[in-house]
Amino acid sequence: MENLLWYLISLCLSIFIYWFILPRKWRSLFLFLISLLFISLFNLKYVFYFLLHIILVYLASLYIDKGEKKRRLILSLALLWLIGSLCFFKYSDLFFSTIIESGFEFSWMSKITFPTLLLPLGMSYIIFRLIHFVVEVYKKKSPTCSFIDFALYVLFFPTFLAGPVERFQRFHTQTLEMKTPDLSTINQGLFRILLGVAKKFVGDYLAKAIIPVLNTPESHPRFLVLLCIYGAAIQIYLDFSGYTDMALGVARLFGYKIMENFNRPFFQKNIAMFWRNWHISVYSWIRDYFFFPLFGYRASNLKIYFGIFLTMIVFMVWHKGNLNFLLLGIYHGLGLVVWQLFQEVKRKYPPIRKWSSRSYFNPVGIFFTFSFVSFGFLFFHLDLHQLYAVLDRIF
Amino acid sequence: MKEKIKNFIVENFLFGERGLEDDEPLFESGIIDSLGLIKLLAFIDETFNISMNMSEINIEDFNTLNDILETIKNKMDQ
Repeated sequence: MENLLWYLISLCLSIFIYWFILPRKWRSLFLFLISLLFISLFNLKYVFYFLLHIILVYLASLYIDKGEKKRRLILSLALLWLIGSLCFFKYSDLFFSTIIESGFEFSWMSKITFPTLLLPLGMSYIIFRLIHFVVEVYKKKSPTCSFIDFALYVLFFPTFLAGPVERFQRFHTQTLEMKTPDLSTINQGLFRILLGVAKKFVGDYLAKAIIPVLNTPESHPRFLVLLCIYGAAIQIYLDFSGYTDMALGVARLFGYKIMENFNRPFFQKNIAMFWRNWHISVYSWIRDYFFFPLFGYRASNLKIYFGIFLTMIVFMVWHKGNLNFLLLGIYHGLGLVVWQLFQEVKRKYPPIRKWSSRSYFNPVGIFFTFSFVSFGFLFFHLDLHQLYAVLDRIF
Repeated sequence: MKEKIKNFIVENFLFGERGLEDDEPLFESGIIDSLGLIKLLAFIDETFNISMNMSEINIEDFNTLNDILETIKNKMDQ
């Protein structure tokens, strides 16, 4: 509570200095310094670690932008460095523990102690922004800018911890065209913050009610367990979108309109539409920088379906490298492939197309999609034994 | 070119059930998804012999029929 109070006081003070004391040209630097201060509160090492990445990518992008020879090589090295860095922190513990647990360790491994690697907070999102920037500079779609403006984009503190992963062009345009906010902008920001707090509050309350039921499904009525499965999906949405609301609200108070991360995901008619409206900034990032470059349009249908399947696995394992998320990736990957196959069937057979486009299929599609997603979200909350117990109770 | 692309979208993604406005958003409205874009690019390549590098694709460049035509024009100018 004390921390929250300090955060609120610091936030109000920062907003006052940002708008009413500093001239416009100093605002980016001020926000950048605040972001560094914010990160250093978690761990000072993170600041140096992130700055190293930012400086290297900035230098690489300057080189690439000049159109020199070997710009593709520099892009490849930058990407290798960024992806390698993320994988090292995210999966090296899993990699070594799997080797040791499987009994295949080498003799030299017993002589050294592996340090417990802590993934720096917000690192995934920072790496995503850096990859986006350097690739867009390579494509000549993104302008280069001052180092401070670039570093501010990467470390912008409202979106530092868990996104959204804003696109550089949109962010930078707002930095350049920043105007003093009117009352409605301030109101929008405050409303989003309050909405986020309310969602988090309701989400936490739901979690306290739901998780005990899902942990002991055999002691509860079947209908209640089923209700809690849907409730758990709503809880995840409230928790995550609540955070996004707060991040977007704080960003708004500093004059930035950051991209939305959710757009009524539980009211979508099919699984493909769901994924276009859930965690939008990262899902579209994975699409643009993983799926499209790896699976081109000259690929066979089979390869493209495999691409969709693999993309979902990568997307889920990125969340967490464990068996639950691997299975969740397979689950959604299969869901998307089956949906695409159904589209092919609709294309070939007009009667099926006509039948499936009847208006009463819209609510059926929404309910089916919500159910599919809700059952999938059980992987978030439960281990495989608990999951089996829940499904056993229902079916 | 415009009519051919328009007809392709109408026949393959709208199943010929309605027309398409030149500035109608294709992705936001769910008419085309990622796989649809891949099919559209394959059609443009086969029909007009214009190859696109997938690593250089921006989905915003294909959001409306007008955007698609503009993107193709830029590609031909390169």
